[in-house]
Amino acid sequence: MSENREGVAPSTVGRRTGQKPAGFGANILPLALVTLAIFVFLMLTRENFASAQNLNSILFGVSIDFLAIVGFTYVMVMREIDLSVGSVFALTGTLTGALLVAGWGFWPAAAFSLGLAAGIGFLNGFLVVRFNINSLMLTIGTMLIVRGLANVLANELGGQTYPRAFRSLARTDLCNVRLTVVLMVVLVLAGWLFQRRSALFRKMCFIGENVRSATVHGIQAGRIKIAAFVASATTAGLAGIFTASRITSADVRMGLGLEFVMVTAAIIGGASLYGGRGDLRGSALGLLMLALMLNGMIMYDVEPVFQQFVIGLMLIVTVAFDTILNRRREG
Amino acid sequence: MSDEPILSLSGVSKSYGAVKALQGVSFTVARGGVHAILGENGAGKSTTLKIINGEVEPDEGEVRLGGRTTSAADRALGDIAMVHQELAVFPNMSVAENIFVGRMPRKGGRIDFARMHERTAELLQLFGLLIGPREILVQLTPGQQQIVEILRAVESDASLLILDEPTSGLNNVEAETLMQLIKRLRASGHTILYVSHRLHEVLDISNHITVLRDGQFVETLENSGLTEDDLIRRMVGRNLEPVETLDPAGLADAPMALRVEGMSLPEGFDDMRLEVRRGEIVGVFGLEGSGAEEFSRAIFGVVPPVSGRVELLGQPVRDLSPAALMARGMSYLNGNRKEAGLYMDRSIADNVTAPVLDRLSRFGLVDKRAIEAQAREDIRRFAIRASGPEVLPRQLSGGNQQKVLVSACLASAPEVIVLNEPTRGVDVGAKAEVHEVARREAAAGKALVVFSSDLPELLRLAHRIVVMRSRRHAGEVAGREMSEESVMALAAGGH
Repeated sequence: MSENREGVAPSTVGRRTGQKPAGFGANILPLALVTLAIFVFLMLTRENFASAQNLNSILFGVSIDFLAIVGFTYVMVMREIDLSVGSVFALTGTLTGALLVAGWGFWPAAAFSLGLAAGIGFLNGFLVVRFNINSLMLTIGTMLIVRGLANVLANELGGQTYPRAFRSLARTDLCNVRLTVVLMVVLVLAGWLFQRRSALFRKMCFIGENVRSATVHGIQAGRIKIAAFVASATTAGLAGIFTASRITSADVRMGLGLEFVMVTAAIIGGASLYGGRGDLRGSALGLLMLALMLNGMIMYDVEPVFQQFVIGLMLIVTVAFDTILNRRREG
Repeated sequence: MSDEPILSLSGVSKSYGAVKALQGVSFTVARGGVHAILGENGAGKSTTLKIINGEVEPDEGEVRLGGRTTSAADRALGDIAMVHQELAVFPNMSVAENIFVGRMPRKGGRIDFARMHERTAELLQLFGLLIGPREILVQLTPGQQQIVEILRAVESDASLLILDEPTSGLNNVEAETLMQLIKRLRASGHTILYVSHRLHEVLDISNHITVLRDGQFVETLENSGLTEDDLIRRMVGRNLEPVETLDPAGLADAPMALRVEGMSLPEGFDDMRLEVRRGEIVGVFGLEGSGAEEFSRAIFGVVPPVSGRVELLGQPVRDLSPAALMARGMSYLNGNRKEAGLYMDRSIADNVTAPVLDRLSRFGLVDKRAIEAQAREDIRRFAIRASGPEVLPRQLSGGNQQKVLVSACLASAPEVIVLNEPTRGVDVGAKAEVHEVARREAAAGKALVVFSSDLPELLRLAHRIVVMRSRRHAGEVAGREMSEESVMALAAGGH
């Protein structure tokens, strides 16, 4: 074994010269430092920022959005995209609430709604794989269709509040910490293990980087892609259920524009429109960073309606960086 | 008509990196008539055309057009119209619009459709074509689309027309129509530079034939009393290294490893068959457009064929997909290292173990030690010159990249191995090493199918060569009968 170790030494020289082999998962340290810098800046300049209540609320919001980015990140690893997450998020949450209002029990209602979400994800994946449809355009289509359904449902409910038991779901604590925050920590650790060790994640990276080679190497790209779309819709649905509980009543604005926050956060976190990369830890940090920025804007009395401008700007900046970096890798 | 040749090349050379594509090529093309350029794959035909058409500047030598020395830029702008091998039409526009694209007749700032359609109808009639000027291109056959492209070149009034493999995508009937068109163009005094693999076409329509071989000029022949054999001899007449032909005797009794029958792929190939026994290396050869490339991908299910029976190791195959075939002991090498080959951003270790991740995992978690061990073993076994398994493929030479690709292909210890262009773009040393690996696998009782456009390679490597022509099985040669002449006669020959 010690021989092996020494054998690795020459290749680390290659690393230092800048030709670093891409690991499975991104290097998140720089991102963590930038996020920390934003945090420190806000803490030093705005006294309200570092209050326990504000920090808790940021973390709580991020932890719910994070659930939705889990599957989304892995769809991006395979060089596809799922822009229907925001709508699926809204439909699943609103539907769960509607079923509860109609007298269903919580578990059947949640299971039914998540099943529907999974079905939408399957449809996305199946169409992308079977007919080779561009997933960007396809999921814009599903986004609109599902949004339409969710809006009809929300209008039917007409702002009725959900049952009390459901409203308290999102505020469930586990050892004095919000359930969703615990879930986020567990999932980030699980995602890390998944990325470092699992054969499946490697296959996903191979598919994203070169789907033709992956096919020739006997990797079942179609099945794995469909599974990822199902996961993306399901995790979005799960986040939707928690969000519906948190906002306590049906709202047509629920999850509006969430997909663009997801793309931006995932790319900040190390994913690429060109596939082959992505890191759940990075995606979580990306969401946190965006949340800090938006919170900071509120702290600096910037109009809340201006938030879209910032998300749009960040989207362009990250996509531009992604494209330039990718071109450099090609060259 | 002046006696000045319309085109003359003298001492033209061109290198791409270390590869000498053309070396001191000189020939002249007389005004009027069809002048064919012949040569094997890689003989320098396309480079010659690119230089004549002004797409590439030669390193040395000069190209005279109508007696004047010209630069590449002059020729690109000037009097030459080239029809490329791939269709370059506007599929949603009419025949007339395609022919007049970029120079539509105007009347008061608006397009004069009446005149355009009239002139198109004239052209179509002149060449005896039954197409309407208003027909939309997608509704025409590939042959008719090709004809429209040629008419576009004709209408441009260029004094030299270059047709690069215009019949490669066409069936025999369409090719025949095209031949008629070319003969009419010749009769009306056009000068045509014609490149094709199909010898009978070349003999049918050319006045002169220039043969290139290995980037060098061989001879310009007057087309009178020539036979296909005369041409083949000049195309392949290089000094071959002594070929130690593998002895096919003793293989006849070996168990059948792969049998393909009646396999068809629309627009690809028709009714193909192939049999490979254990211990045997079977080559498949076809010139560009023969369907060999499509066939190679179809037998591994990369592009699913529509019909055909496949038997693998004595069992019929129902699920013809790469994953299912791999699970049953077949493996495939795609020689195009960039497109469907290596993962350029992954280490050598990741590349060689991609096909066997499941075998190197327990409960879905990969065993990193096993991966590294396998990578080290492969680096040693295939003599890959890399400093370690963490190195990226892009840091390696082409030959070593190819060896990484071959390692990945053999990682699953397959019984039936399909190699597609195993040594394209690889230096001589690495080529010999890849051949050695192939022979070793065959000697160990594996069955190999090698698709290659490099004929000498197949002659050296294979026990038997299956030849494809016009998207069909054209014949087979084995053992002593295998020679460049016999294979080329099947691949490029007449009917």
